[in-house]
Amino acid sequence: MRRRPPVIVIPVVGVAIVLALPVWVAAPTAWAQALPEIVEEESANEPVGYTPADTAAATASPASTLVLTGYVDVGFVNAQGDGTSFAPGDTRLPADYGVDPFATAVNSRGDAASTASGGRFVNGFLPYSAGVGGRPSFLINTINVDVRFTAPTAPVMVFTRLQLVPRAGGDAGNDLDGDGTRVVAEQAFGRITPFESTELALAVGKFDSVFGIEYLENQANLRTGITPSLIARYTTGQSIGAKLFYRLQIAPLWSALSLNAAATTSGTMVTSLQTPHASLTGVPVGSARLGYELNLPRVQVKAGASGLVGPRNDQADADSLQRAWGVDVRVHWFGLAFSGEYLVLDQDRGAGPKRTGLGQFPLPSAFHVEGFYAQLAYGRDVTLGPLRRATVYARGEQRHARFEGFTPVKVRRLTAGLRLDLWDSLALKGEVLMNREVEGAPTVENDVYATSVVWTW
Amino acid sequence: MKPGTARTAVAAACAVALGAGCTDETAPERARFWTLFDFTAALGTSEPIARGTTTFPDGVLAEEFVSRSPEGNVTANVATAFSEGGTAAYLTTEIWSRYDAVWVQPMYILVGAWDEKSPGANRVPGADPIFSVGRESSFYSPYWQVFYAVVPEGKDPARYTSAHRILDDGLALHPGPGRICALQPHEMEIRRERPFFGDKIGNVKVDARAWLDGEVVWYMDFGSDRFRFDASGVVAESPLYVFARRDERGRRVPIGLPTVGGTGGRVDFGALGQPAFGSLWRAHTALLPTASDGTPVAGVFVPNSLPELRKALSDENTGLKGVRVPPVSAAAEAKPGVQPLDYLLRVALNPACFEDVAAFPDACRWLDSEEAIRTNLSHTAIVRGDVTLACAFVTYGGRPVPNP
Amino acid sequence: MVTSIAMRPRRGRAVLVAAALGMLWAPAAFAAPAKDARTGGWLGEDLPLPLPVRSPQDLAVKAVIERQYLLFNLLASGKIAWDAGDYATAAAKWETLLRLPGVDAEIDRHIRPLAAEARAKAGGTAAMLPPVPSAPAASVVTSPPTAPVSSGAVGTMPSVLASATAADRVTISGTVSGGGAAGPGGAVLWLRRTDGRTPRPAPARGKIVSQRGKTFIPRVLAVTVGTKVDFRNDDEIFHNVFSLSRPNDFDTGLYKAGGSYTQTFKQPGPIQLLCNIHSSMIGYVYVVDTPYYAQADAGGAFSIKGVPTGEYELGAWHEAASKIAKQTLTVGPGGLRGVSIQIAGDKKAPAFVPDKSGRPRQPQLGY
Repeated sequence: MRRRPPVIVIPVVGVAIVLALPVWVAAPTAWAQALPEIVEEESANEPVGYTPADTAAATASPASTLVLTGYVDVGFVNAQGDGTSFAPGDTRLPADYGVDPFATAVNSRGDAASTASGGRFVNGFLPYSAGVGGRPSFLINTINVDVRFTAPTAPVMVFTRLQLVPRAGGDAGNDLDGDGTRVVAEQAFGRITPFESTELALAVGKFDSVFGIEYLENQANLRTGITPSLIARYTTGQSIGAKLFYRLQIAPLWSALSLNAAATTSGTMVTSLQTPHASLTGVPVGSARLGYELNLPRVQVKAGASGLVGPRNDQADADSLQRAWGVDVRVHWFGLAFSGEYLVLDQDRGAGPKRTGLGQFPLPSAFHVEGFYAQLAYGRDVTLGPLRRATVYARGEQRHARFEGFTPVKVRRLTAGLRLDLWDSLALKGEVLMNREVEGAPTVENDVYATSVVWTW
Repeated sequence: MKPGTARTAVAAACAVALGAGCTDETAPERARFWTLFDFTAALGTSEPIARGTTTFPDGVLAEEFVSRSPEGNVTANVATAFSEGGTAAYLTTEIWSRYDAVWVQPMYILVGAWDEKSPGANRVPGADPIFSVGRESSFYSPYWQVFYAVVPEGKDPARYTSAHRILDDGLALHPGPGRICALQPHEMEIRRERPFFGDKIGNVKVDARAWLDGEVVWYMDFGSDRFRFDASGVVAESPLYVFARRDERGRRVPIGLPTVGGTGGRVDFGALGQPAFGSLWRAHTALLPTASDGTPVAGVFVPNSLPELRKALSDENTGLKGVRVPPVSAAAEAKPGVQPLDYLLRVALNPACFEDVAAFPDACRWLDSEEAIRTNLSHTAIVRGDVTLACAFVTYGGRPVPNP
Repeated sequence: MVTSIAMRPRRGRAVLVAAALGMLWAPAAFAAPAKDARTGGWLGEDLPLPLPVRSPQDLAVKAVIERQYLLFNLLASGKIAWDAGDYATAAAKWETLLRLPGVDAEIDRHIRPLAAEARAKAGGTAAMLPPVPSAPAASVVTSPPTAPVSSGAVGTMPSVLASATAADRVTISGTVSGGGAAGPGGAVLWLRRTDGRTPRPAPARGKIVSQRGKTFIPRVLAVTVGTKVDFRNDDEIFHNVFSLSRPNDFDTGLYKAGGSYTQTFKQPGPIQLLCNIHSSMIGYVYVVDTPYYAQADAGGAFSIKGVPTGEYELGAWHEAASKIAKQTLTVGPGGLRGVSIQIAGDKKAPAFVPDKSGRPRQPQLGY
């Protein structure tokens, strides 16, 4: 008998096995018939599903005619020092030009623990104040009510957001400190979506900013953490005007392009910096964001570029402009969420007195700022008693600002915190803010420890 | 968007949207201020300072405040004035338009140790003071509050060239008096004598060196205790009366006479007798009266010893308008105890007294003090203006102002 | 065989290699019941049929059509296989036909012996067949007459198809109440044995969730484990249906009008349906792991058919209830009528529905 060279036999056997394998895998029933059968019983019941006859009457549905929702945000905060960023030995004027008075934010509104300048002259660059100073204190941050009406037979929606902000300070009508109790009509607008087949919405009234992405989580129950970033004061203000939103879906690329544009009285600055309730110049401020979304099943990437141009609405000269541009990015990947924004803003020197949401001040100085933030959050669904989800997050940010002729101020902040979601309606948050004065502003102890309990109903 | 474009766009939009009847509002005037740097830059140009203000509708040429020598050196001018019935002179370093207030800022002087009785005794040798706010800021002013900053042992004083470094290192700060220091272009000089009179002015230190945000700057030092400020840092103003007339358009325009410095009701002097008022002035126009036929009533005194000046001021085309230049009795000006030059360019409501030997000068109703102006002119003749000026006295009551 | 290849002449070698591979292929090819290819669209078992659905009534009629279509195809394809000598396939087809609930007695009379003969010829073990149906008799009273289909709530099959169930299979009927302001409609009810093993249900067929007018139709659908649900876009706009309900989370991606996406649900439990583009859209699929289940109509009435006698636990789920309601039942030969179960209405619709990355969306923004 002659020996068969194995070099030819083995590949032939291997090829045969490889070719037979998919057939074996694809023909399970042939094999299964030889095994004991798992008995599946055909059901005698074949329900075809349930759809309420009148969706408007089913108030469990978000498409109901009138929907009331809201939240209550209660916090406990402890700010170092006197709760401000003012240094005792710093007598430069205006006092708010030499520090970042927004740094000691204690809640989602961005209220500072205190804005008391010790009587020193300030020029309207302060946030609202929670009025708690450096004393650990409970605080009702916001009581919020949203009313949403959707017309049953027309593509019209009306939305209002009212907020009660209880504070310990003086009369809110003449409240240069910004620490008075107030009722805020934060939003009130009507929106139409004229075309069924197109994602186009037109809104008129008072609404959220269109700049960047941070306004999307302006509210305590939506925000991952507690406090807004160091640039939120420029990008997350509500204003009155008209807005357009358009989105184009690109199905083959799992993508979409969107345009969000608005013409408003005060652009996107927060109320404490520019009043939204009247145009002081007669010329609206234009703002817009062009966005791109990639919506894959487990990974979503959203990026955008924003711009703003128009007169400063804290003074009366229509030729004194404010210009801003920014870029933003969000990445969601298997429970990890990254978001970041970069902003550059310039304001020309203005004319006449300066008027903000907090009152009148002498001089609208020219101003320039560059800033950014980057936040990373990891959330995990957890079923442990009432606990539903736990999220840890950290945010790094920087703001480099300069008032004309004043020493430029650069501050950095590192924020870290934990959020626990209980049941479907309760969020517990704890956060620490570490503020650092890098240049221009004197070093002060102004770190903040904040907690927030948000009930959503 | 270019300046003016926004307004034009608004006007066009209004016209289209609303038709006739929609008017474009005039843009509001801006608050502005000028420093010695701006005066210098405006030299030789036809761009006046503070044009459009209520006090100076046509503005003031920079040559009123600075002048350039044939060699090219720039010199700050000294202006003659009257105050509290006496002669005075000042130097204008800053002008503000439409500012409601001017604030005091901190300046830091480095000391090796703190001595409450003699704060400046331990000044670090060779260490220049540090200013905190520059002239590009809307809130710059020549009014500073001195803070003595104690340099800790082991720290190099040369490190301290900016306010925030002093604050960052937590240097002990001890407040001191207010001081007038005006930032100036390097190597700018000042006229050291009063015009026409030739007497010397006080000892103003010029071209002194200091630090601002890590860079060297130069300043004029008018000394300390020259002004008052309140708890919120607002510098006290005094009224400065600018004699004016109505022009053919009915506007109040300055005549060009020396101003009269008021006290604001508070006559305050420092330890060395230097006036602690009258460094921050708010201009008030004082309209001189006219007869029913429009001819001026008031007259300005020009002694007979200055015939060219009299001729120049009387010239129909280029002379003073709104005030007469009446003749002066030689006998009146030769009266014992009368120094005619003391009354040079002083305004009287009854200029006939210049020729009255018996009346001159005591019976003349001089407008040479705040009280005299408020008493002799109707209240409608005096209008508070929107211009404030930093004009520190360099002579007062005929004597140089000391510079502590 | 393989070892002898090496020494053959080249051409002969190639032929033998092909033959060897062909023999490897052959058993698989003949053993597995071949999936019938679509032949002009009438011979085949593939469901669902491409019939448009615009309302709940359309869904109900479509279910009827598909059942008749299935019966016809099993009959015909079994006969074709028999004629071709493929007795295993014929046996499998006819046995499947006989296991369908409510098969007409005449069909059973003709096909049962043929199925047995085909099985005998093909070999293998016959699947357990239900007993021969008795003469048509008054069926055990099922649920009260259902509301007209036009009301939009269909919880049971039309009475023309209601089966005369086998003697040992009864019907449980009753009413579910509660559900808060939304009412009890759409509640999913199921029975699990407490005195033995609950049989595993066969996947349901022909289940569709349509997107129309930016709503899910039906809003709540109950299916058995392993069911493939077809998500069909009957709107003129894009939709992107997804669910974050683990372990049945899924994502259809973007698809345009007329497109569809099929998802198999392999685990029991509730699945909240959302659209990544339209935050106002919300719906539910509830997956049960028992063949004894039903959905309540708008009035809360339900009927579970084909239930063997025994001890059971009745479970009820509703979108407005935070917990599943449970109740034990004893099912006797006469079935059960008038069962009453209460569900809570303590759970409101979420204020903010998430996008598919889990980020909450504010409904007033619309994006």
